[in-house]
Amino acid sequence: MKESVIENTIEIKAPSIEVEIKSEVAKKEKNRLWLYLVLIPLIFLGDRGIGAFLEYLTMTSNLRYSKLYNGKGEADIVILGNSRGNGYYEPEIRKITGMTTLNLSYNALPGEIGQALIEDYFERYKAKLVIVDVSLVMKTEDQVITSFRPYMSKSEKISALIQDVSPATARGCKISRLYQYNSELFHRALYYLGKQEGDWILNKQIKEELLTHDNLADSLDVVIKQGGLDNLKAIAEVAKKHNTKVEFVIAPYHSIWLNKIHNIKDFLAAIKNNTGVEVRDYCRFTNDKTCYSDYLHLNKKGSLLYMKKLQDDGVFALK
Amino acid sequence: MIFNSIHFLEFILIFIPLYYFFKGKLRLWFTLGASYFFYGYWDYRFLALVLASTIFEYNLALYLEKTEDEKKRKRLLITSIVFNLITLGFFKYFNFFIESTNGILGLFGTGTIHNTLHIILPIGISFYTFQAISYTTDIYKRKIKAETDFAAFSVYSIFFAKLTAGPILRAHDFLPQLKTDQKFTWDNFETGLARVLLGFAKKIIIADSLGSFVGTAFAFPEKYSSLYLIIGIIFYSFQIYCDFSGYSDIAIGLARILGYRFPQNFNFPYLAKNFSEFWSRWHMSLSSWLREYLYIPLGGNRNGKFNAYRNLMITMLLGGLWHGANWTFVVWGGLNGIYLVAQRLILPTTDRIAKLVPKQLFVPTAMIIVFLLTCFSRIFFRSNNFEGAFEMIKGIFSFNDMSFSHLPNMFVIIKNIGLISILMVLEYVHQSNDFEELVLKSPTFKIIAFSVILWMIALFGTFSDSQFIYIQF
Repeated sequence: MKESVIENTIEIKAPSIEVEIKSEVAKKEKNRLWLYLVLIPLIFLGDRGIGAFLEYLTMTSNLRYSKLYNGKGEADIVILGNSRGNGYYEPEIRKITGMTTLNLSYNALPGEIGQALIEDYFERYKAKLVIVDVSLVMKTEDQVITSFRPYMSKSEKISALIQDVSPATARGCKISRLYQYNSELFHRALYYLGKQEGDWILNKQIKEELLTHDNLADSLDVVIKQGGLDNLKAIAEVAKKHNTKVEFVIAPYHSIWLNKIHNIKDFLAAIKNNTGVEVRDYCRFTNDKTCYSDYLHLNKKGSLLYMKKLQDDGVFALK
Repeated sequence: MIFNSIHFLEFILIFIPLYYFFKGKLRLWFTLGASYFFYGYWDYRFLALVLASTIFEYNLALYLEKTEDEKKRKRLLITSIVFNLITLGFFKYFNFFIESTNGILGLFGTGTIHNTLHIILPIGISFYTFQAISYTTDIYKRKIKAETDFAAFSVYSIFFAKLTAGPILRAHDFLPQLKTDQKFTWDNFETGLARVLLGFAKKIIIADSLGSFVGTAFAFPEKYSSLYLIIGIIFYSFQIYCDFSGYSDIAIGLARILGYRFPQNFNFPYLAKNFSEFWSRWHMSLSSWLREYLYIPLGGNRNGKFNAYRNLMITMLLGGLWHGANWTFVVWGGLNGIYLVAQRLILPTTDRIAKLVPKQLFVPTAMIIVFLLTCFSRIFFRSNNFEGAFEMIKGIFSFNDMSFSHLPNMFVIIKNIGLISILMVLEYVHQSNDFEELVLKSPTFKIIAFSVILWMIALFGTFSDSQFIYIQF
């Protein structure tokens, strides 16, 4: 009798447990469906929302390119160059000329971006003088072009350049707004939030070992590219079109480096022939080791001397 | 095919649904075919080598199990070990052997051997051979039975998720899993996917970002200040950790999506307070392999202190050589052997200090010392030759220019320090809260984790298709 009661109880309970498990599984699956319905739009909207906030941060920064595109970039003198262009020391220029300066130089800045920046500048502002350190057209790095993507939405020219050199990056920026800010320039923009820039100069002195023995290749000749010469020509033309004086200059190199560029004269002559603008050659301005932070870049002391030389030679003069 | 490539994404998106579509034997053969495709995509010429090696090991193991005669069994085990070591030696160490011999001959002013063979290293061979050795050794020791199903054995040998850089799997862990038809579950899918994303985040966000900085420091140590080089070797330690543990996370996550459980390979190694603990937390599948199949057979801790130290040194030197055919790896292994021996020698002193000093001070200090010594040994691991390693050491210990304001690439340094800090905080939190458990239990955590990882990858990821470091080993 007892046994049959137990059997009956089991018979009654078993289906109810099964039903409970099934309903729990169904509930879990329903929750999961809801979860994905929340998750997928959240990822997309979050990307857009955070991206919009990062754009706001970028455009409120005092970084040179943010100023160029946020309406605060107007200056008397506009400077353009690669990392060597940072040796055109803004506070000193302001001191000796009394004019405001916007230095648009950047590490390994390619000529294509340089041209786009100057054209964008003149679409927005006026200037009295444009100084271009022509070493910017010696090398082009696609990676540097794509690093300008935080400003894609502000400049059709930059956007087109990125599309041209890296369609994958351009596509990535369309898919993810956050990816547009995956760039060192964005980090710099963050750094200059509420802080003034213009002092990108190194204070250190070149290492003694580099002067006693170098590991450089035998030849560091410039590969003279028509594209680079065209960029310089376009820069000169747009400045002249806006009645702005253009100065092409080349900053000093330490002789260890310079002696390995065997065709520097050909390079400068090619610029003159293609653009009609004479390059002021300061390659051999000084070989004092206390003026260099490495073979290519002047330190603060070197820069101050160099700025004085430019002033004495009338580079900053407007007529 | 590497995990962080678009080709792998295409491969896995096709593989997963088909894997669950097939059942039983068919699934095993399909997985085997996919694994051969994965391997052949890198270099199809080595498929024959892998197949021949699998057939050889499979038959030898079956024969070993049937054999009762102990002498014969021992001979079979030795045959298997020698076969694997010759394969590894030929492909990985032949060039190294010729170069080292030429170096010695050069010292005596005699002629040199002309190396006419330009041998390419088959990817994952170090992992593959160690796994094969452990399989036959376990059968010899009667710990496991030889696998009779050729497809299951082959998948165990060459399964794509762990083929190129581990974890080194043990037969008793993985083969039973292959014999059961794993069912698709959302829990496995989600926890696996979370682990895969975490691995990609470690690789793409941190390791690759650190890699370019480390590359310049090691390529031109003479150009940079001591502080820059010190930052370079610290960054390298985090690069290799994020690269390799990231790879392991992806492998473990992929296996989980397919219903398999792989062993953990890392357990927050930079939180280790001594070197023994470090090695029980770093590349755990290799450390336990070396302990079980090299250190203990050599005598382990038995037969007195001197023999234990000798065994430790041999294990670490060979462990170093396993990583790469270069004397720099041997020195790296040797240095770590010295650390382990020194730790045992000074144990009574450190125990006394630990009792005197408050725990809050002793533990972080011990962690920092272990970390910095590990960073130092890695100079030899990362340098291509001794000249480069000594140049780096000279640059660091000259303590020339320790000023932060003179550092180039300051933005890169700040960004990377920020990313490493986030990683360390997450590691610390992760110690007491299992990531996968949290993903399973809390839908809110799941939403936040998936979203934040994807956003971080978009915002900080380096998309350069760079190889995983351990693939070269």
